Amino acid sequence: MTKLRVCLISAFLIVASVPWFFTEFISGNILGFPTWAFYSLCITILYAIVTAFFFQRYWSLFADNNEE
Amino acid sequence: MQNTPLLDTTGIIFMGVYLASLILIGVAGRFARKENSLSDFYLSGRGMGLFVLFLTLYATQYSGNTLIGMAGSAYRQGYAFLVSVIFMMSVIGAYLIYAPKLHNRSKKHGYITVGDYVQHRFGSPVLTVFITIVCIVAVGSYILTNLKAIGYIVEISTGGRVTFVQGIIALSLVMVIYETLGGMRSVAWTDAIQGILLIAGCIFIFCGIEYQYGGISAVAETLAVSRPDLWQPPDPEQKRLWLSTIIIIMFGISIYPQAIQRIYAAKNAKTLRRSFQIMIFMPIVTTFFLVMVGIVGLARFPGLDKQGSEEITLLLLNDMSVHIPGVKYFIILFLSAAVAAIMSTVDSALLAISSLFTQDIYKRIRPGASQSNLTGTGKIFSWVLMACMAYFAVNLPQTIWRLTEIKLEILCQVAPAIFLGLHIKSLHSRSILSGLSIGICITLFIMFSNSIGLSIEPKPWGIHAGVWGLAANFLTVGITSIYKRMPVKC
Repeated sequence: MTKLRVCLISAFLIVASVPWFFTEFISGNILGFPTWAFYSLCITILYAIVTAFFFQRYWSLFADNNEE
Repeated sequence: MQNTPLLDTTGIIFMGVYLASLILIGVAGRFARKENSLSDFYLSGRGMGLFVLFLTLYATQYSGNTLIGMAGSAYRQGYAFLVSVIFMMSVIGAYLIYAPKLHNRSKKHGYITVGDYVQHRFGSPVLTVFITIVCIVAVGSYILTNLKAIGYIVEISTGGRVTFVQGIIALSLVMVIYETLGGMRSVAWTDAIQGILLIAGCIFIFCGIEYQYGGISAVAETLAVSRPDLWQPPDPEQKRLWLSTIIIIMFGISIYPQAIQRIYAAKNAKTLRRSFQIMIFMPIVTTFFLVMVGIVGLARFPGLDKQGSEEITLLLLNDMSVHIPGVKYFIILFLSAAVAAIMSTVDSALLAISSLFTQDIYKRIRPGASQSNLTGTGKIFSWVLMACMAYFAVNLPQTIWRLTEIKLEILCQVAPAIFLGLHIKSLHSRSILSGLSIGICITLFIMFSNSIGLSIEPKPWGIHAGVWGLAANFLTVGITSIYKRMPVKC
C-alpha cells in the first residue's frame, strides 16, 4: 500500500464519521444513543482500530528509512 | 457555588501534598541530569521510555478544557458533541503522516525545536523565524487561557479562600520552579503523575454517574421525553461545521511545538509508535466519558445557562456526594485531576516556548554561546515568560482575549511546512512562505472582517476561517511548486 492510499483511507473514515446521510428524525435509541450518534460512534471506533493497525503496519513506510 | 468550598481540609491537604510532590520531582529531575546541554534540558537526553512518553503525550494533549469545558459543551450541544471523540483521535492519526520521518531526522540531525527542522529542511532563516514566531504566539495564548482556567478552578474549589489571582501566582510559581530545575525530565515525570490523575478522574466520574443515575440508556429515555430535539440529526451546516472542527483540530493540535518536542525526545521509533497506538484509544476513556457526563448532567439538571453548564461536572459530583458519602473523595480527585490537566499543559507549553526562543532566536543573535549559557538563558526566559503570562492572565483586556481564541486557526497554517515538507523533496521555502502568509492573512481577514465593517460570517458556509486559510495555504503551495517546476523559455 502507498502512503497516499493510507492517507486516503484515514481521510475517508474521518469524513464518514459525520452522519451525512441521516436527515430524518428517528425516534428510539441504540444502546442509549440516537441512531445517527450511534453510527458516528461506530465509525469513530473503527477509525481508532484502523489507525492503530496503520501505525503497526505502515510506520516504516512513512519513516522512509532509505531517504537521504 | 463560589461561597461553598468544594475542597474541605482533607482536600486542601491532598492538593498541598500533590503540589509539594511536583517540586520534589523537579529536584529529582535536576539530580538525574546527565549533562548541561540543550538536548538534555529540553529533550530529556532523547531517552524517554514508553511509560513516561505515553503519559506525557496524553497529559499534554488533554488540557483543563477537557475536564471542565467538554462536559459543559456536551451539556449545551447534546449528542452532537460526540464529534470531540473523533477530533481528538484524528490528532493521533495525523502523527502517522509526519512523526515517523521527523523522529528519524531528529535522531540523525539533532533537532531540538520545530525551527531546527524547518531550518534544516528549507534552509531559510526568514521562514524559520516566521514559523517560530507563529508557534510562540499560538502556544503563548494557550498558556494564557489555561492560566485563567486554573485561577477559576482554585477560586471555586476553595470557596474564594484562595482568590483567582493568588491561585494563578501560586501554581505558576510551582510550575516554573520544577520546570527550571529539571527541564523536560521534570516536566515529563510530573506529566506522568498528572496523566494518571487525569485518567483516574475520568474513569471514576464516569463510573460514578453510571452507578448513581442508571446508565446511558436510562438517561436516553429521560432525554427522549424532555429533549426530543436532541434526537434530530445535525443539519447540513452543522455537519460541515463538524468536519471543519475535525480538520482545524487535527492540523492544529498535531503540530503543537510541545508535541513535536516529545517526538524528538522518544527513546526510539518503537517506543514512539507504541505510545501513539495506545494514545489513539484514549479519547474513548477521556473525551467520550466526559461527553457522557455532560449528557447525564443535562438529564439531571436541565435549563442551566452557559456559565452554569461549565460547572456541570461539579454539580453532579455534589449531587452524588449527598447520596453516597464516599463521593467527596471523588471531588478531591476530580479537582486535582483538573488542576493537574492544566498544569501539565502549561508546563509543556512553557518549555516549548523557552526552547523556541533559546534555540531559534537567541542562538541566532549569539551564535557562539556555549550550551550551558543557552540552557541558563532558557531558564531565565521561562521565569520572565511565566511572570508576563501570569500578569496578562489577570489583567488582559477582553478585546485581546479574542486573539487567544484563534490560536489553532493560526497554528494550523504551519502544517504544510511539516506534512508536505517531509515527504515532497522538491518543495521550496518560498512556496511554504507564500502559502503560510496567504493562509494567515485569509484567516485573520475572515475572523476580523466584522470589526472593519464587512458583513462576512466568522464561519462562512459553516466552515472555520482557519480551514479556508489552510485550503488557500495548500493551494498556494501547490500552484507555486508547479510553477517553479515548469521549464523557463528564453
